[in-house]
Amino acid sequence: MFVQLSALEQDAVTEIMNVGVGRAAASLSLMVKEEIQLSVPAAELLYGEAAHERLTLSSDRMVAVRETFNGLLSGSAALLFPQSKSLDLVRMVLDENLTAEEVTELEQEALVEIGNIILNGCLSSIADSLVGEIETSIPVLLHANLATILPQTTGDEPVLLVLTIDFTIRSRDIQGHIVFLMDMQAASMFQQLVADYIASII
Amino acid sequence: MPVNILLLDDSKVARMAARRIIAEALPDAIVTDTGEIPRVFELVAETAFDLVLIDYNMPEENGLSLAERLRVAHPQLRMALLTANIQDSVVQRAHALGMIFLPKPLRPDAIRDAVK
Repeated sequence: MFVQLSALEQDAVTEIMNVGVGRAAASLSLMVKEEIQLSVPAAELLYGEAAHERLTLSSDRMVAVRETFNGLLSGSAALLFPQSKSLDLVRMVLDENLTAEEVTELEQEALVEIGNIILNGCLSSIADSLVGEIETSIPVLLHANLATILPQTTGDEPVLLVLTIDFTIRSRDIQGHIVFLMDMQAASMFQQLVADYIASII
Repeated sequence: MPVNILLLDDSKVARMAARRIIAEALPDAIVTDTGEIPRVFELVAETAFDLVLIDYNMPEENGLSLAERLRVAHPQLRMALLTANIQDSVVQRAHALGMIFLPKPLRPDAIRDAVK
């Protein structure tokens, strides 16, 4: 059994995520005292190989901030970007006058904070739009390959909701992904909630 | 006279959601919506809208840049930026263009205030 989003459902999910990253951008911009642009061009539900292909970024080694979520929906969420871009992202949000040592020291903490703000922005927008409550765990930082970052769920093949995200700050661009890993049951429920949301605004 | 509102957002779902809130807040309002930026120029040339609601994050052009072009062609046009991007810099740029700032999701009292 596969869950497929219709064009309208895909549009709804993208819009919900754009509201989420918009809120996250506001929080991040307060941190850095500069404007940050975050956008989510499209949301896709992907399975197995297709998901791995979509998530192949410019480097095999990736950095991920991952947290689990429960409540209205259950699963895990991760913000992923190539390890080669990790320090660039950290520099974007830290004082530009810091030394290389200071940036390295603060790297982990800064990445977790960025990930937490973005993932919580998205999850709270999902919860608000789909009318429910979602609780999240403490985020963890992983430097690993895709298979480690996205653990396989037992039983049904896991479903990935994949969102490409563009970060722009101080004229620098970094592309990453936000990934929500759900089992088939959670993905079906998610689709039903999105369909209910659309029905409520028609 | 019913309020005449034009709504631009590239997301059909966002347009549906905003329409629903406008219908709730201003039941008599006439709402025209489009996802196409060029269509906005045609529509504002044809109709005297009381308010044009413009999304910020659109693929071809952002809402502030579009508002700047609209402002040149239509100096008196009442425009509002509708966005979840609530950063101070965006709010300030919207205000500098004489736009009203409306955070997403749109709320009934906010749209009522915007057309006053």
